Amino acid sequence: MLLVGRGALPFPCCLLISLRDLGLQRHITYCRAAIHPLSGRAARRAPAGRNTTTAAAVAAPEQSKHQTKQNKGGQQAAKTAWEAIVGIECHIQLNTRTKAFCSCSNQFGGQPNAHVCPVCLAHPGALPVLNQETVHKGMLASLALNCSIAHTSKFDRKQYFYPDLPKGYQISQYDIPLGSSGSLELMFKDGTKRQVSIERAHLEEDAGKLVHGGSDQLSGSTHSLVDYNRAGVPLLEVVSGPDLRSGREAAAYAAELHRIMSLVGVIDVHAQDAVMRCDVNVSVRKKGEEQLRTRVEVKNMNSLSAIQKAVEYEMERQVELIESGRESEIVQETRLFDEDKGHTFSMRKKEGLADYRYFPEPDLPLLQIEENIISEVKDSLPEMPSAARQRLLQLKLPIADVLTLTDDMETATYLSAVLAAGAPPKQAANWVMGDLLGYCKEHKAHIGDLDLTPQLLAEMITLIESGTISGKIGKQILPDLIKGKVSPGSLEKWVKTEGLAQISDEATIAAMIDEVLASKPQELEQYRGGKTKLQGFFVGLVMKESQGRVNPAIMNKILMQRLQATKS
Amino acid sequence: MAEISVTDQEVEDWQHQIEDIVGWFDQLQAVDVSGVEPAAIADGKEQGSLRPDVPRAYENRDAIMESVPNKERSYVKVPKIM
Ligand SMILES: [Zn+2]
Repeated sequence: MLLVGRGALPFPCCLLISLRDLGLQRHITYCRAAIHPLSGRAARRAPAGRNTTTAAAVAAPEQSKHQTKQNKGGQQAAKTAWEAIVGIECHIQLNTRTKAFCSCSNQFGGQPNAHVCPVCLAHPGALPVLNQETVHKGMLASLALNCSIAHTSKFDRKQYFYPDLPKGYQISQYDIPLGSSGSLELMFKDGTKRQVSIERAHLEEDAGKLVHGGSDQLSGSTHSLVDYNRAGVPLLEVVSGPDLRSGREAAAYAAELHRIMSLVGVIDVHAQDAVMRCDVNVSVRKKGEEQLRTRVEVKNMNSLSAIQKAVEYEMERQVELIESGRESEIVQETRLFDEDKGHTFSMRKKEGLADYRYFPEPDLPLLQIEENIISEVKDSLPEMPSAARQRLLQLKLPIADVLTLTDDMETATYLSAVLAAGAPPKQAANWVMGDLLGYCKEHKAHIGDLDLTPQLLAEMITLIESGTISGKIGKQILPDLIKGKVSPGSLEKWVKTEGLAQISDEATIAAMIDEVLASKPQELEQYRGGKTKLQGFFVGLVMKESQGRVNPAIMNKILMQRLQATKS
Repeated sequence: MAEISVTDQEVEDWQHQIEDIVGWFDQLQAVDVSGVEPAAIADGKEQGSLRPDVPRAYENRDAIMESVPNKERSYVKVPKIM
């Protein structure tokens, strides 16, 4: 043991730097540095990549099926008397082109260790230089979460030893985060809202990726493998206040966070690997109680269902322990969630507060951001989901529809453009939610990429509203419009040339009806004899005759007149 | 703390060096800094320039990887964890 601390914080840290400069870097990095009781990184890394938070995974969370499998007594108790106190820390991987502190590509997959350099491998003397896009995206994300941006913030070293961390420390932000004091609004299916406070949003770098490490390692194997492509990739860590009260709320929070990050374009929504990794802190209390009990941390989840089920399981477990007089068994610890088994298990107990010996990063200057830059970024923000939901609700759209339309903000943006082009809200919402989202789901397409522009859809809806074409014809021509057969502005002309315009002329329709009735004297006789349900039969024939183009209301009116006329 | 292999000779050499460093810190600790604002960073007043977000592959990557003591395929091989 070489290092002897002397109390003052900077001392062992400085010594560590001098050891690096003495050329011990290789030993620290690759060889004997293996285990530090504070880190537990193997377990943290091992599950990465098994489950991914993709756009598809971020649907509105449903009540977990898992709940029904739980012990009924505990379930009852959890539902009636207890509530969870949940705070979430999410690590969001920013989609910059380069890493946070070096010019290596921010890209994984492909060859391991393809994107490495002396900076991200911590070779002696290599100095970090902050990527401006990391700062920009960090600001975008923080401002989208209503955070205040620090005019002057700084970077710090968070120290622990683990082979996926070449420097022996992670560059992070400790006491002065980039963003602080923000909030995010959730809305549920019953229309209730919840404000969730965002305590902080700070920039940091990711570690490398351990392969064949941890629990899935073949027994007898003596090595782990490390890929440093991810080492130094920029992350934004977003820390919520302890404001969530259930698994459902926790999942809704993660979904909203993912939604906002996608909207402001700071994450790669097409990434194979998870772009958001979440840790949840869970404790329970009786409703109305002020006092807080021991909280447990469940680490490293990257799907909404895992977050929801982990919180529900923890709540269940803690309530049962308390109610059976074993509250002392709830200890401050880090647990992991096993998605297959649907339970959490202890990874390590916490012995006091983890001591990462933070100190200011001497290799990076202070990060100073002028007010005008902050305002510029703020002004560039698009409409946030909460505002879009509010706006759509004011158009009298039902809550369920509003939630569907704002689940992916690309859909909300598309709908807004359809509305701006003059289509009435209810009809526009129905076409977007039904036919368009159905098509996108079936063809794995993005609504924003369709050749059917919002303007063209609005044109079509307007033609239906004005009676120029029937709704049936609308459905019929939609595939052609999606394929880009018609250019915006020319739809009315096109439907007329194609002979698709609705027939609303009463004389024309009456003539068609008379022809149909004349061709079916037997059925007409039966109708006269009281078999009035034959009306549908005649409607079908007229529709067929006109290839679906007659105006149904006018046709029904005239048909009834004719049928009743013959009857009397 | 890291487990670091050192020879007896190194222990002897470095013991003095480290004692010197510790002694230097003792000198620093003796300075009266009452009334001085804590500086976040030594170079606090200077605003460093930020780097444009343009990828550039490090030209000596192969040499770096060659200096890795243990490899398997293109992974860095380390002792088993936990
Ligand atoms: Zn690099």
